[in-house]
This record gives sequence, structure tokens and C-alpha cells, in this order.
Amino acid sequence: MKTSRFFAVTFCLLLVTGLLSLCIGSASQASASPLRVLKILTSVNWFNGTGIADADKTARIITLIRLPRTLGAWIAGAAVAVSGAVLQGVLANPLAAPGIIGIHAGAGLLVVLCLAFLPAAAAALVLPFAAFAGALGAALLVVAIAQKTGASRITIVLSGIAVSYVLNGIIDTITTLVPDALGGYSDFRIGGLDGLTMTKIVPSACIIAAALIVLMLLTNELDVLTLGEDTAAGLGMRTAGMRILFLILSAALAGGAVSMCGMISFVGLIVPHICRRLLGAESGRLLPGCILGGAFFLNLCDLIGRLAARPYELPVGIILSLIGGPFFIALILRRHRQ
Amino acid sequence: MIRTHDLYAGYQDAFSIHCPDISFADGCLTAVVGENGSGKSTLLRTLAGIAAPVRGEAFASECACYCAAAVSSGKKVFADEPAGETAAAPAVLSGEENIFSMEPSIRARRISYLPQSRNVPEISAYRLVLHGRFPYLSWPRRYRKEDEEEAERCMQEMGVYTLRDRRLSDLSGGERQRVYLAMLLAQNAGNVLMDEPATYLDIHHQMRLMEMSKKLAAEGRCVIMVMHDLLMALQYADRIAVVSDQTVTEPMEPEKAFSSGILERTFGVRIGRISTADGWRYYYETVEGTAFGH
Repeated sequence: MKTSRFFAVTFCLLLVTGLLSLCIGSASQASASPLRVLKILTSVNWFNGTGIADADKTARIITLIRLPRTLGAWIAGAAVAVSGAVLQGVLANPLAAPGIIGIHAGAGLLVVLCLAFLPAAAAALVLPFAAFAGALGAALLVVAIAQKTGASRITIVLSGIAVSYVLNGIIDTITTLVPDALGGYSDFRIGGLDGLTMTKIVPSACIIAAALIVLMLLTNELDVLTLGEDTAAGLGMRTAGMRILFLILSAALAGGAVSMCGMISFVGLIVPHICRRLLGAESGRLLPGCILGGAFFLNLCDLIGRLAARPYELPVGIILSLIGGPFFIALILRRHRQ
Repeated sequence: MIRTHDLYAGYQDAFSIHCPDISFADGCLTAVVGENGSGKSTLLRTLAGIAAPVRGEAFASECACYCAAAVSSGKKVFADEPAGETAAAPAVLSGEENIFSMEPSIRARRISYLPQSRNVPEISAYRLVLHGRFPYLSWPRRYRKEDEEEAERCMQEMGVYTLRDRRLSDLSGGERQRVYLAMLLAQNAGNVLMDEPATYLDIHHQMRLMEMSKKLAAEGRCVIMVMHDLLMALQYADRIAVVSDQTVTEPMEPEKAFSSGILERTFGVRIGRISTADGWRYYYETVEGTAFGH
């Protein structure tokens, strides 16, 4: 597919889905026409939060609930998709996703610790930060172990799996001893976008934006590293250090997303694969493609989850698994055939 | 030119291959031959500076003729003056630099290396060749117009310009090999190291590869190629270095490699030859005296 057409189509899809997810939701009585939504959004004074009539329930739902949720889906989807694309390239492993370097287990551990040992109010407050710290901490631990052996691709994957097992063991110990933490941890593990507010989004968005900017400056480095260890070294790259830098950047991206909406990972598998097929593996095109594609796909899944079982909601993580699982299987079968 | 000084390549506590004071000359296609597992690839990775040596030194320099060509075309070849000589270190010839203490990007401008196993990323042939210019970029690494022109020129030289926009995964093995060679060419280094580049290629692609490698050497480069095929090494190489008993011999002319019997001793075969209008053609002798080969 031509690159420009891919970006045009994906961008339009993203805008349409975004607008739809503002117009409709699980609260069917608060549906609004796109025109009305645009009018509401333009009438709000975003600097001091005024302009929403207190009595207008629909306007409040749109600006205070659906807008943060849509933006959150865009940011998290883009972050996880790019994180997956980078990991797949750096580890030369088509099935790599953020979970493979221990990000999910690390975030999960700190979340479950907060839920088990902090009062509920305090836990809710520190949860996003704990999740981010856990994600980055686990990734750094994996990198530190792998670095002892020259940070080869296979030791990174193996130590990622080993660290995940240990951390998950600790998580299970805590949830066994403090069963009260299980409910909150389960929500986190499934992953969902409900309850997002602008104040929850901003810290993650800043980290994710910073990581994305750095990555876009390093696209040629990423491409050369993807050529393989020896070829990259022959071209004068310090491969071990570069690989670690990319791991930390993808951990920051995935960690930022995890702290907003829990463990969503299939976006990081599906979107990079589709984008790579359509755009090629050249990072200068692949990463922007993943930003748009990931934002669109997570937003779409969230929208489906909100509408599929109205008036209830299915968390976006469940929809992702239901779509992502079969895709994963098809991917394995396809690779097997080749 | 690449020169070693009492170099041991390999792994500290397991296996190492000894490279005494040896020179790989400019203008020569030097074949490195040895049995499987003799450490040829390890030696090449060490000479390329991407594997640390167990101990010893190796030095790389640009050949005079090649330097002159590069300088006249406005390219900067020597990024740094060679480090000052110290009394204890082995004598460093003018223009030489220690491979193991060079800045990686500077080293990559002087030594290009084609590994035996290469990934096949989903990028275009042109993009791959462009990555040959990677060592010449400073941060943020964006390819400039001159890099693009150089990449296109190298693609033309290797006869792969028509494959410009094809994806690597869509090319045949021979085509992909030539694209990789164009990348090597774009790296514009005076020392070109290749690890069994002929493996998996059809025979006419192999012969074409050898002709191209000879041409690179004839232009003044130091071309070092790990080879599997003794007969091809005898026919095409200007020098042959033999790895036997974990030691590398001084590169010798094919005539000497043949007549001294070192190849026959190392590989446990008998090699015969017949004179043709194009020079010697070599073949393996079987026990019965029948022949097959070139």
C-alpha cells in the first residue's frame, strides 16, 4: 500500500472513531450528534474548566468522561503499538510484546502491593505512579541481568521470562494472603479505560510523548540494529548499549500506558504486524504508522466494549483478547506455513 | 591493509586461534581457508573489530592509492591522526590505527564487514544500501543527499539499481547478496572483510561474486574473504591464508599454497591441476585417481 494512502485512511478512521466514541457510549440516554459534540467541545473553556452547564448531563458526560477516555485510548494505543514495534525489531522476534521484558509483571507487583497494604483512597491516588515505577523497574532489572552477558537478544528474552515468573509468584503470594487485593488487581490485569480523567492522563502522556520524540530521532539507529548484531556492529554501532536504550524507551512507553489503563498488550502485537505488512519495516514510516494504527485500534476496541453489552461495559482488555487471540493464532499458523 | 601482532582471537577460557605477525596486503584478495570449526569466522570478526581479542593487537590502515582516490574526491578518510607511539606498544606504522581502540564509527569507515548470517528485514534494497553510509553520519543520524547519491552509485556498480524499490524478502539469494555487497561498497572502507559470501549462491552468482571481489581488490582495497571452496580460492584469490592447528599462516600465493602441500595436509584431500589457456585449473583427486571439480 502506498504510504501516503495508509496514513490518510488511518487518520480518517481515527477521527471518525474518536468522534463516535464521544457521541455514543454505554449510557444510551446521553447520546449526542457529532455536531452537538463539536459545539460542546468548542464552548468549554479548557483553562478553567468552565462553560459546561451543571444541569446539562450529556455535556458533562462527554467532556468529563468520554473525552478523557478517548484521548486515553489514543495515547495508550499509540504507546503500546510503538513499544511492540520497537521490541520486535530490537529482539528480532516477531512475537515480542511489552510483556516479554517483564513490564506487566513489574507493574502488576507494585499495583498489588498498593492494593494490599495501602488504604483504598491512598491506593487509588498512587496506583498509576506505582504501575509506571514497577514497569520500568522490572525492565531495568531484566536489562541488568541481560547486560551481564552482553545483552544478546536471547538472554534478554530469557531473563524477561524468568523475572516475570518470579514477580508473578510474588503477586500470587500476596493475593493469596490478602484476598482483598484480588479484585483491584484483576481489573488492572484485564486492562480498561474506564474512570480516566484528564489529571490521570497528563503524567503518562508527557512520558509517552517524550519517549516517542526520542524514538523518532533514532529511527535510523533502530533500522540498523534490526539488520542483525554483526551487520550493525560492522557499521560502527555499539549494539549492546543501543539495544538497552531501545528497551528502556519501549519500557517507558508501555509503562506509561499500563499506568493509565492496566495490562493491554495485544495492541502491541497486532498493530505493528499489520503496519509492517502494509508499510514495510522501515522505522521512519513504521513508527508513525503504529502511532495512528494503535490509537485507532484501541479506541475502536474500547468503543465496541462500551456498546456490545449495553448498559454494561466490557473492559477494553477483554475485547482486545477476543480479537487479538485469534489473530495471534493465525500469525503462528502463517509463519508455520512459510 | 590489516596487520596483526601476536593476536589471539576467540574466547578467553575455551578456544583461541593464534594469528602471529601477519599482514593482509592492499590490492589483494586474500582467502582464509580452514576446516569447519577452525575459527575462521571468529578470526574475521576479531579483525573487523566487532569481537574483542583474547590478547594481542591488530592494526588497520588505508592503502595509499585508495586514500588518494578518496581524498581527491573530497572525502575525509583519516578522521584522527594515529595515536602517539609509546615505547612498550608494538611499533605503529604511519597511518595505522589499533582496531580494538578505535571509535566504532571511525573503524567502520576503515573496515567493512559482511557477516555470514544476515537478517532479511522488510525494507527496500535501496534502504539497505543507504545504511552502508551509517558510519559517516553524526547525530541525529539523517541520510544526506550525498549519501543517497553514493548509495545509488554503488547500486549501479553492483548491477542492482533495478532492484532499488523491491523488498529484500522478495529478492533471490544472489540478488540479495549483491545488494549487501552494494551496502559494503557504500561503506567505502579500504579493508573489506567477508565471511563465506558465496555460501548458498548458485554457481554463476558465486563466480560473479568472485569477479566483483577481485575488482574491489584491484582498485586497491584489502579484501579478506573466508572461503569454503578450496578450488575457488586457488583459482581466484591472490593470497591464501590457511588456518590449521589453531594457527593462521602468512598469506601465500596460490602457487605456493598448492605446491607446498599445506592445503592437502590441512584438509586431507589430494588436489591436482591441469594447465589451460586461462591458467591453472584445480580439482580434487579421488583415491582411484578420477577427478571432479573445475
